[in-house]
Amino acid sequence: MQFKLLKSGYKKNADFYQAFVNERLTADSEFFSNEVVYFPSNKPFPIYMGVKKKGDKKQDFIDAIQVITSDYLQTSRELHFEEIVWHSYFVSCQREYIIEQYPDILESQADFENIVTKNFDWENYVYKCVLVAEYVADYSKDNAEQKLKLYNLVYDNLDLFNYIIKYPLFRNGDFVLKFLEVIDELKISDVMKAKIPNRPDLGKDERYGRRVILELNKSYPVILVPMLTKEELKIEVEKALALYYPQADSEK
Amino acid sequence: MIYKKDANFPYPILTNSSFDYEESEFYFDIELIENSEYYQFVIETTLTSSFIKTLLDLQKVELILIVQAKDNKFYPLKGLNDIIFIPKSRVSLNKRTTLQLQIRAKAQINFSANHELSLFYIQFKDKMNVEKNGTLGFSNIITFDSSNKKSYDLFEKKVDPNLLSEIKIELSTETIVIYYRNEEMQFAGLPHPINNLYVYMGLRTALQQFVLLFAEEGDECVYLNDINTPEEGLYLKLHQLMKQKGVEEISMDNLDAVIYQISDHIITKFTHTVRGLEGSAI
Amino acid sequence: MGMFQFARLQNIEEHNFHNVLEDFYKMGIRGLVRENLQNSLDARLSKDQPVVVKITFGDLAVNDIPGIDELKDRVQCLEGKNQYSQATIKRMQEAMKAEVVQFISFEDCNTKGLRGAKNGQSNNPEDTFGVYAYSKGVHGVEDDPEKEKVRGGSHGIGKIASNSASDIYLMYFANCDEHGEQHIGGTIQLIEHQYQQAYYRATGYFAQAKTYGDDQVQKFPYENNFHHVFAKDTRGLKIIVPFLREGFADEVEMVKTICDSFLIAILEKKLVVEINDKVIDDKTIHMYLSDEQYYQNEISEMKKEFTPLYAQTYTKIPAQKIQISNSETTFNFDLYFTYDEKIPVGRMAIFRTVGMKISDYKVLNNVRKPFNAVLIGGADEDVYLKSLENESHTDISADHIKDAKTKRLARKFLAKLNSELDRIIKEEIKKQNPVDGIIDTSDILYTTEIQFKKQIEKALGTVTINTGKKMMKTNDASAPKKQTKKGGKNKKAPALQKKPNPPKPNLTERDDELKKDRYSVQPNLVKRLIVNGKEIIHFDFSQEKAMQSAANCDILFEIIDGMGAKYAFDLANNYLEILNRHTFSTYAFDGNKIKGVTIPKNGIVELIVTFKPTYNKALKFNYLVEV
Repeated sequence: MQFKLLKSGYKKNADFYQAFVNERLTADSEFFSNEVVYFPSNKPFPIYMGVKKKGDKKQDFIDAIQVITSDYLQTSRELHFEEIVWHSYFVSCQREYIIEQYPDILESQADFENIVTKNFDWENYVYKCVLVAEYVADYSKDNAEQKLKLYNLVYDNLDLFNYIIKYPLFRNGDFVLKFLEVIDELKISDVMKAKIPNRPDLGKDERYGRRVILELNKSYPVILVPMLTKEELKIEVEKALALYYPQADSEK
Repeated sequence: MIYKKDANFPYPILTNSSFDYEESEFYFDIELIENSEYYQFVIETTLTSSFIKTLLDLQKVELILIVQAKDNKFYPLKGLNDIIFIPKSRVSLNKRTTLQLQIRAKAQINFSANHELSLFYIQFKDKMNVEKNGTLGFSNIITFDSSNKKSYDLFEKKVDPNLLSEIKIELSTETIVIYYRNEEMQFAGLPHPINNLYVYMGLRTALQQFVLLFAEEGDECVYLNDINTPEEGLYLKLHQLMKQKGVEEISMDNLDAVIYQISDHIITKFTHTVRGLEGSAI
Repeated sequence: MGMFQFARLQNIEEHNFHNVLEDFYKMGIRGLVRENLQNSLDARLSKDQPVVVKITFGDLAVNDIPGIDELKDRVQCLEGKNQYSQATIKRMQEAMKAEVVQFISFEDCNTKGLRGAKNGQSNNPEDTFGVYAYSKGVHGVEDDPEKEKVRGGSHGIGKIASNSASDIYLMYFANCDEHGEQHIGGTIQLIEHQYQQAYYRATGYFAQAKTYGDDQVQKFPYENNFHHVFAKDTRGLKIIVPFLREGFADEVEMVKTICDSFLIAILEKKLVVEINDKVIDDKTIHMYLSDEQYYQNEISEMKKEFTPLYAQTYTKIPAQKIQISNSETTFNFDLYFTYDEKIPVGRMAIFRTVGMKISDYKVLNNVRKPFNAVLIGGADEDVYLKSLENESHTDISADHIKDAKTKRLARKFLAKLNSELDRIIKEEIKKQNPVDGIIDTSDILYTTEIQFKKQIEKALGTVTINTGKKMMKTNDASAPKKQTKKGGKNKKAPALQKKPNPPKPNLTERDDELKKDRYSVQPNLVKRLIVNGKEIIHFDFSQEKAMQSAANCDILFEIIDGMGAKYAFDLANNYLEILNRHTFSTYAFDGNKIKGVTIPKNGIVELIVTFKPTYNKALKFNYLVEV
């Protein structure tokens, strides 16, 4: 699959949106540069699992990761981890698919920007799926069962996953997955998601999981947290959780 | 994650800014080699602490290369000099990529054999321990940024007929952008220095923002040797330019002096140009 | 009975002149020429030959004007009931005193002329003479529907344009039909009036009347035996306007109107205009366009009139096809487009297929772009464009359309037209001007900038890697080497850096509290250690002037996280006791602050901390002092 890269300036651009809507985004359109990029595949995958999407979002999430893993991950990161590449690809090669999946993008420029040309960062579903695909592929090698389990773990703890990858410190494949496994094995997923009661000093919407991450952050690099083994990480997580959730020890 | 902020750790650490070790230094340099599949980082480390070198030999500590771009990756080194291969499918140097070495304890480390510490710590050295997975020190930072078009550009000009003002100065991630409401204001065809007033205004705007962004909370002054190298292109350029020109501190009070220092007689050239035009008009 | 027929009235109801008269008058000679030429073009006979319109103006003896005596009498009887009609009546009465007046005539050839003059007021739409002569605001129906679509205005209104150009609102039309039959008609627009004990309508028809029964009147034209100014002896129509108003006999303005409005018609050999001895055809028009007497010829000065540019665009540039849809119907146009940096004002002329210009169209957001364009459609496009014409026929818009749906479609059409043109203009600008206009096209600003650039390149350290790719490489170690470690420090921030005090929450605190200065403590002034279950914090203020005069200070604690961010540290949650190693005094906690720490003469403060078991021993700190 071959397509041209967009020139910068297409974001928040009503002309660009109109060109997309009216099928005028041909390769010779002024919005494209002359730089051509090759993808080994043109297999579509879900690109958005936010509030506006109906249906089984978890399945979409897993489908997306699996397609990315099988069809796109072998490319250089300069392609599959690059905002401009994905945005160019979606509008050039996947127009029909994304319109079918997300018809709102034809109606509203805001929806289009939120679904198709969203900034490629931790809030972007494609970004998340690419990260998870890379991380799990490197972590589990050929263990398909473990892979599926990890995809599920990420989705089931998405708030925490978002919080981790939001900050550069722990945006590391091994760490993210190890951390989720620790949560799973310690069976503290619900606790980590829960809001901390009676602590107005911690600010709004403070959850145990986020506080645990913050404590680990404060310890870095006196403890090189991302390099801990899973068992070592368990100890640090329990220690950090105990600062905010004193019952944790007694209940167990 | 690259760590660079000076702080007081619970034990002495080896860094290039801390005085915990009396003299020891910890530097590394990288040569980058690229092929179609891999990046090769050829690493050469200068470590003058015999205490830590011994620990390395005993494999009680290891050097870890941290590569931070869009995310973090860690690679243990086999020794002071090593070559790390990273597949291009897992790292991209398109955006700014920073690298650093950390010294990781592979087991508990006791400091009794450490004779390089400053006076205060020497008295406690026998009882001092660093736990497994702790850092014993961290190195300098190396940044790679593949040359995109704007890497060395400081200014851009644009025309926007819909501008609400006659000109507008905007700071983009890489450049100072001067918007003109119409092309005539760019004086195309006239000697270039006639635009120096805009250059001056643009520089002043950017440097003001620099001070606001990089002055520590509550501070009025930015000490250029003391701050971390800025991540964002525009401020990186200004930072490096000022350092190159020997500027040591910048505050709202010395902006004009800094502009004078980093540029080449902007206003004098402007004046000469206008005088010249005046003469030719008669 | 006179030669003009005015319908009788029971009484006078309307005291004003027809309001369109003044509107047309304001358009001057342009309106008159445009309306008459348009009608002639619409009546074109053979497609192989151009319509020729002869415009003549000059002097005419009042006595040679048909039926003038009766008109003089009637004008004397007019009574104005308001200032405006009084002024008009006065003007008419003054004009009537002259013996010689100016006239203008428009005589067309290779046109059909009007049909069925002999039938008079037959009320048969195919008798175009009757329709033209005796009805207002309607026009006869063409038997060819395609022609019906492309014709321009309506004859009724065109006629009144001629009335308005006369001081007494008088016009005649002489017709010669395909059989060589020559007739003459005309109208005068007065106001309702009393004349010889009877009341009459405003409009008088130059016609003879035949009466049937009591009231039934049918009008018939006169056969044309009048002065040669009024003669029309070849097939076609001739409009004669006597009492031509002052300022209308402006030849330059007429030539420009013809070139401006009928540029394409003339270039396409559909129209030839003769004014007195001048001939404007597809050859000679270029002479007028390039004549300084008529047009500005510096492209850079063409800010209001664009006809010479349109001519260039149309004749030199091949057309491109564009489609504009209003979402129900798609219209096809030919677009002639020129891009030239010298053009100061960008306009697109929209022409009807007959070659008459509708509008100097301003493309949204592109009125100052250096382009020039001509847009022409086909029959369907003409009909649609006509529905978009504003009331004065000088532009197209959706504002005047009443029906909501039609209006919406019109808006869509105009929006599409604008965006399509905008796209074409942008593409052209990009093609012509690759360094400017596009959002991310940076270019070097100034020579000063080139110097900056070189310096930045040097400062940033460019390396070329094995593949030849250029990379920027910065090594923060390469600048300040650590040789200064033992001796003097590098030029760094002062070890104690002054900080502004946080705002005091209230004024109940003691006065000396307010006077304290706050400093951040450079980490190299501090040695910190956790050993044997205790934390030791050692401050060396011996070299710090700010501390030397003080006997004691407050110390504040800040946590630094793994990314270098600061957090407040709650002492009471983490520490059990803080002891001064030299004075053995202990300190109370106040949030993240301990107060009244004694500073000995040597400036060394050493604190020993006993911490809680839950204390995170992996934390790292920055400290602040207040003295």
